[in-house]
Amino acid sequence: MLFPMKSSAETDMAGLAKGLMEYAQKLGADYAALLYQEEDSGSITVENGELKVFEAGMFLGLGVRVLVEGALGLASSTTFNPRILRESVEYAVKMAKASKGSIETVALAEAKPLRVSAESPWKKSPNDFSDEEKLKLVLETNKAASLEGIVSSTTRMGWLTEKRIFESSEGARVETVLHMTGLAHYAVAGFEGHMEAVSDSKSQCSGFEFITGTDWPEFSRKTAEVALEAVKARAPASGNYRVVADPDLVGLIFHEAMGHASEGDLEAAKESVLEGRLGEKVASPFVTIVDQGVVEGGYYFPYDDEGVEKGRQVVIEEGFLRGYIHSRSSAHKLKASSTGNARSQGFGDKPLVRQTNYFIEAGDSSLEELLEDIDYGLYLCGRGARGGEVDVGQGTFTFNAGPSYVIRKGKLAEMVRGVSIGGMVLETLKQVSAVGKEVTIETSIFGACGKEGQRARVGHGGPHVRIERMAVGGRA
Amino acid sequence: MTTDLASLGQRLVRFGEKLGADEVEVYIEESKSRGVTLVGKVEAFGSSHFTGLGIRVVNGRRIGLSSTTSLNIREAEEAVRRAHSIAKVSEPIGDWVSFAKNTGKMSVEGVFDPALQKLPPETMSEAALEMVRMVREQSTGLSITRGGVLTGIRTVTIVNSHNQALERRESYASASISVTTGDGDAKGVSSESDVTRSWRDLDAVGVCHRASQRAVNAGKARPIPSGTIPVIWRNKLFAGVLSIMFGGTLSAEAVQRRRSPWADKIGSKIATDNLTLIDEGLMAGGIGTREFDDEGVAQRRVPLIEEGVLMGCFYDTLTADKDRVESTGNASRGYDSAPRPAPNNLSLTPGTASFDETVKETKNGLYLEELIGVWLSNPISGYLSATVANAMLIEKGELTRPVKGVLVSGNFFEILRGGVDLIGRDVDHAGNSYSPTVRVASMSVTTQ
Repeated sequence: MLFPMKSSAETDMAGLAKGLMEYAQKLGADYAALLYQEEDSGSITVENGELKVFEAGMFLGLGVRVLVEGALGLASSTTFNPRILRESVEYAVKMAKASKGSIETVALAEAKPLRVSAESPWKKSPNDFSDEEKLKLVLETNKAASLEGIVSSTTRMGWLTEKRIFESSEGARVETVLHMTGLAHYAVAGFEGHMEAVSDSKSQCSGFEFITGTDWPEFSRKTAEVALEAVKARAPASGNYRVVADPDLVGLIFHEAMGHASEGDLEAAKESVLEGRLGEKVASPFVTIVDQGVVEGGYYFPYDDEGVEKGRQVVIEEGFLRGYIHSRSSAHKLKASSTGNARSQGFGDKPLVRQTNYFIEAGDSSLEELLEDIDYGLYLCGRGARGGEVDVGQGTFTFNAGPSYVIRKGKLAEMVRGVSIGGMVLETLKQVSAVGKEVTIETSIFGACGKEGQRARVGHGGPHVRIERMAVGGRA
Repeated sequence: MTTDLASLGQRLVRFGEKLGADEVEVYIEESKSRGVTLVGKVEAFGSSHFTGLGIRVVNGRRIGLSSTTSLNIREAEEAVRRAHSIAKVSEPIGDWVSFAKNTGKMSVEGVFDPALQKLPPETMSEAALEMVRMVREQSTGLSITRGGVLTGIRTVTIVNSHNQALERRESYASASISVTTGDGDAKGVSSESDVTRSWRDLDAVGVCHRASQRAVNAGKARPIPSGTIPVIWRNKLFAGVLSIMFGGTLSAEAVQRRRSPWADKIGSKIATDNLTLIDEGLMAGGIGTREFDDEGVAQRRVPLIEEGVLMGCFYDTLTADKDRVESTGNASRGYDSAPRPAPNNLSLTPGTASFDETVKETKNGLYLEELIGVWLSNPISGYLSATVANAMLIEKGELTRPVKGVLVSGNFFEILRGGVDLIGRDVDHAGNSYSPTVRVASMSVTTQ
């Protein structure tokens, strides 16, 4: 049984869908598709022992996409008013016709119209727990982390259920239901006039059983302890290091610096450093990278927003670039097939090529083996990382890692903070000299990846990875 | 006159009160937007109609928040019920007094352009095509990686248990473009945008012109040796820095919770005499100008720094009640989030120098036009750094050659205390932050 949703809009949508698609085609559209979205969510934020916000939200709407003589028209509304929706479709078609001859033609690669439904596994609904129980859990989690030396702590719990229905004039109908829950903690520690902040979160595509089955006070306390240790730590000296990156940071670096560069719409626009390099050796032979829609611990994405099955694609195989990730339109431009990576943030947004769970596949080394022959290096961690920025065209990246550790004679030694790393991604990929044998993938209900103003949740992570040379900024 | 949205709001307030709530506040937004996007040439056309309803309910100083995108009465009443049930179990807020009682409107100019409401599809389409032509005319090697024209009308309605419904209407138009040229080391990239409140003021051609020229320059740009030199900040870039450094830290919330470096500095001299920063809530045509804020309190002029002295911070109702002062009309929210204090139009007061004079008075230095990663700067420590994507070298008072691939860094707090030695008279904005061209006497430049 699919999860029971609260609104009556889905019934309205069923009545509207066929009529709107037929109307669009009557006006001259060659293709029409609808995306219905309904999201029921809630969150509780507690700051320094006080409830800051307890909120519940319902988000729903309908988007229509049409192709008219190669132009893409998008119309959307939160009201299920047939008049407003018809007017929007008329507007999109009118605009497309007015620009005839000056259009960057959009066409879709062939894809089999699917009629399927899928739902992420869940056992307990968030609605089975009272507001009091939820609030109590967040207050206790926050309190557990108010250790001596912590100047500020914020805890946030979130939950959501999202339904999407995609229908197209080609006959596709794909319905997906996603459940997600998670908790984030942010700790600021103070010491001798310095402050250091560390945040961490855990989420899962599941029901509320993930919340009830996790020891959150233990989690928040650990986060606070890292902040307390970090505030007393020093920054490493700037320079080039041999490093081992943990799964969290590996996920962040490769999602940003490599993942975006493998998005087919950026190849088509000649914006990516990987453009035109199919078949070339772009990484060391230890590196195999895949994008996979459903993976343990990751974001649940069985079908994309064009109704295509996501599956699993190999992007880099033992160092060789094998393929890009595609939507139907980017695939058409590059004479490839869609890989099910078309994603719209919301019902009204243009589908972009986005990653799902993009990660390096397991190698065969244990963490001890990765560390053992490093005489002096750094163990770089993702927890508390402040993010970074990449230039996909030049292939350069800069990140702030979270509190990390010095590696001395093959063993983890003291903590360091204020670690920034940077480089050229294709150079860094060639410096990978060993890969860990355990892959850890996580997702987040709180964070999302941004592209062209649209946000999308993803899974990230991977194995531990050893990199022979990494530029590290710290102390001058 | 009561509109449909105002009467819906009033009905929902009464509904919540009937459920037993002490106070109810209803926030309704409705927006209609239309756009053309460019990738290479014209690629897509869009129109959207969005509605959002936010309910806050207070019960014995306990507050609940719920939201929905549906204005359907059944869903809307469900949202009120949900907020009420949350309020019942919430923790009391110690400083709670009430929702805003001193609501009202100020008259403002240039925030609603009737022409945007009736803009024919062909006009927008023409503007987008003109952008494509403009880029082609600048240089044959240029291509558009993305861009577009967007227009929108937005209505916000606020009602609470103490006041009648207030309504405001706003319009927006924007044009943006990213262009690229060349390959490998000769690759040049640039982005530019303009946001205005009226169609007439939108300078889509200027946006294309500036981005194209900078991309062509960037293709020829090279790094310069590391050193410490005077740096002229383009007005728009410095406006962005002001927003990063003060947008969060001068909020009364950050000050009260001691998350702000300015928490103990109100009344002290934190900058040189030439620096005055005002939140101009009523600036004609300002991007953040509104008749009233997101709690229904009239916006105003809020002095933040006057001749180098930190005068205060900006407030919403809750933070003002905590300090027993009046809200400064700086409440800001989305339909689905709680209000918090935020700047309306953060404005650095201009000086007298023209741009040409500023360059001429600089013997050797760097003029920054475009940066990457400036958002990673830290408003708590004042550490300011960014990678230069586009700059011009200044030699003997003249702009000589394009520069990229170097890192500029400095400490913003030190810059305030003596680093700004020239302020221009040419103001531009990044979002709702306004600044003239500013010269910083010395900043560190590092070759990567």
